[in-house]
Amino acid sequence: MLLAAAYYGAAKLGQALRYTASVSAIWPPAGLGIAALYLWGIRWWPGVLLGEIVVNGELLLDDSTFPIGSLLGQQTGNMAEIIVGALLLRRLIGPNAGMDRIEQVGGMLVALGVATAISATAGTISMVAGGVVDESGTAEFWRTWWLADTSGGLVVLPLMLAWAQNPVGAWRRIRTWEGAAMIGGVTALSFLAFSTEEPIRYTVFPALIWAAFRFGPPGATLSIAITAGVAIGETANDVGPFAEQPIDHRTLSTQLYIWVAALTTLFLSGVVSERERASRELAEARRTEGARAEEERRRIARDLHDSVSQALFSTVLHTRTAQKALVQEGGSPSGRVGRSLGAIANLTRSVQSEMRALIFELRRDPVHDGLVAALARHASGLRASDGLTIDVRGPGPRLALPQLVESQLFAIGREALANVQKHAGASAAHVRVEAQQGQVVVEVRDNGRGFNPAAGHPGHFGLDSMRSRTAEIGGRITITSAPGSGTLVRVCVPAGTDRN
Amino acid sequence: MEPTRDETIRVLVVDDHEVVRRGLLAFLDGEADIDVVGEARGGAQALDLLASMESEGRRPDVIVMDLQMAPVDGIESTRQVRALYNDVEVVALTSFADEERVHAALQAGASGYVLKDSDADDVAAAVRAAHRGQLQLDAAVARRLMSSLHKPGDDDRISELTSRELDVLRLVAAGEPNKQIATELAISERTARTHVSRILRKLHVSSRTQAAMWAVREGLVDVEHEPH
Repeated sequence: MLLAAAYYGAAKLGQALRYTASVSAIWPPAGLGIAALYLWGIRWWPGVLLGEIVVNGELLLDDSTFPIGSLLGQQTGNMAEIIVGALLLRRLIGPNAGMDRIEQVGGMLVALGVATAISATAGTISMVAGGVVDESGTAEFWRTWWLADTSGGLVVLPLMLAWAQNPVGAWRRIRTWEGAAMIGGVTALSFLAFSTEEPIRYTVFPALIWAAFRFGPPGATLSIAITAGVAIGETANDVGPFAEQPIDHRTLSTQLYIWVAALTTLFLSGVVSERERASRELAEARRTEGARAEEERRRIARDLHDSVSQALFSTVLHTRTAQKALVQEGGSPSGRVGRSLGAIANLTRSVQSEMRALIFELRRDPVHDGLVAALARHASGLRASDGLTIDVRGPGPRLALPQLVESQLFAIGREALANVQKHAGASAAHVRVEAQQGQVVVEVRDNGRGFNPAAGHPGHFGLDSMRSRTAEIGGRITITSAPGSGTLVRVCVPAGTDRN
Repeated sequence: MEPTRDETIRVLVVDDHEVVRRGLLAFLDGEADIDVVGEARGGAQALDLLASMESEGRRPDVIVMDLQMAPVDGIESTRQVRALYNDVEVVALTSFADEERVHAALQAGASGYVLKDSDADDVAAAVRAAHRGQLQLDAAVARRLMSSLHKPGDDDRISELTSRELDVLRLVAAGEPNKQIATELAISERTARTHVSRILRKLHVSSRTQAAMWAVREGLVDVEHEPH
């Protein structure tokens, strides 16, 4: 019922701007129906059918001369459009697509285009057969029908898909000052563009691009809906640049305006979403880099132990066997063979002990001997590689910190030093570890070129990663910097008492 | 030493590393008093082999058992072997001086252990010691094993032992091998072996090491004797 009501409502909206008695310039119900069946399942088709019957019934009441056969044909075409559209959409972009990938936008476009072509064809044939439309106007009628359904679909379908995925998250993203400003901007510019006689409808585009860049698919689709709504409303009220034009021309102009605005914004927000996702993944990969290196060391230790150590033990056994056999067979242990066997035995023993030490080292946690020692060791490794001098200071006795805190603080320090090395162009860096009043503070300061921390720094994922690590151990991070005056990274963590 | 036929120690080698089995086979077979009678890739295969050897009346005296195996590790395999054949001694083969693991193996019924990076002769020595029924533990491992036994005085298992079995147990606790026990009590070595098996069953322990520990703690023997 709800779906039928929504469908009916969308149809009413579409009928606000009519081309002929039965064909609207914009037909949003098609997109709504496709989105509903795509999101909730094909079994919801009776809702669409009900809405469709009410719409057409109303049409028949208004104008009882309307051929009922044409109406039935049109209705069948519309139902087929919605079911085929939903099925095709599932097929092309899979379930739960949020319009945040280029392929999804493309797939949506194909599904919508094919489905609406069915409806346009069925509708045109019905109307021509019923004599509602003249045979000479067939092509134009088809084109108008198709554009009406697609442009309506381009507004409604992505809007529903983008918001259905995570409505709460989408709402949170927009419910900010910037979100309000963006929506205000789109609305104001849309009205401006459509309330003057001047053809300046492109003025809306900066606001649409803003929406696509900053608010992702939910913001983009919402602003498309706003500008499309304003365009239809104003044109229907006979104001704006398109109202001046003859009816068929004005329909086409409105349709194309919505097409261009929707496609531009959708593709843009798709690209932006993809980039955002890629950078998030990169930040995450960076964050887990340390853990993966750790895992890799353990794997190497395990492999060495499983293969080399076993073979060495076997070598010891074989060598001893040979030594004993040599004596049993009357050879002399001090002869050439005997001496060689002795050398092999000694060599094997020394390789065994080296291997033991190596495996022990590989299995060891980098912070096994405490945070300060680990940072100092890491710093001396960096120092060796370029002209940077790094001094590490901290309490001598090992700090009593939980292992997670210790390893995250080490990782934050390591990332801060990596940033110094990569970006700061500094000649000196100071690392300080302090335990004071129940908290542990780690500071990394450099005398490099600094940066503006308030500006977004795409590419400097180290900052994101340091923030997420700090959050993970319940700490606070402050990054103090200004162009030309170095950078200070300071992390405070409440100090636990046990190390577990 | 002049080994006679029945003094030959029959050994089964269990390790999942082919290369280690080859080495152990070559080396142990080269020892005059040791005869490798079989090899297995894991605990399950070892149990199959033991069953078929048992039916042919040629069970091994000592099993050299790697502790790090999959899917069933050497500790569990030792437990299974000792549950079925408690006169077959197990020498655990372990990669590192991993106290936890050694302790678990001894609790499962192993009578000794060798590190995989010790000298070849140590392996032969461990096999011989296990066969003689000698305890070979270092102090730390012995202490842990001791404390893992039940609290003293809270059981009357001692009353279940016959006086002959108590005699045998005292000698076991003193670190005497079966042969020595047999001579001292003027019984055959086979009978001494049988007594030891019964003692283990009555005390609900899985190795003579544990039986010895139990005897020491119950005051059956002087604590003076430092196991070795």
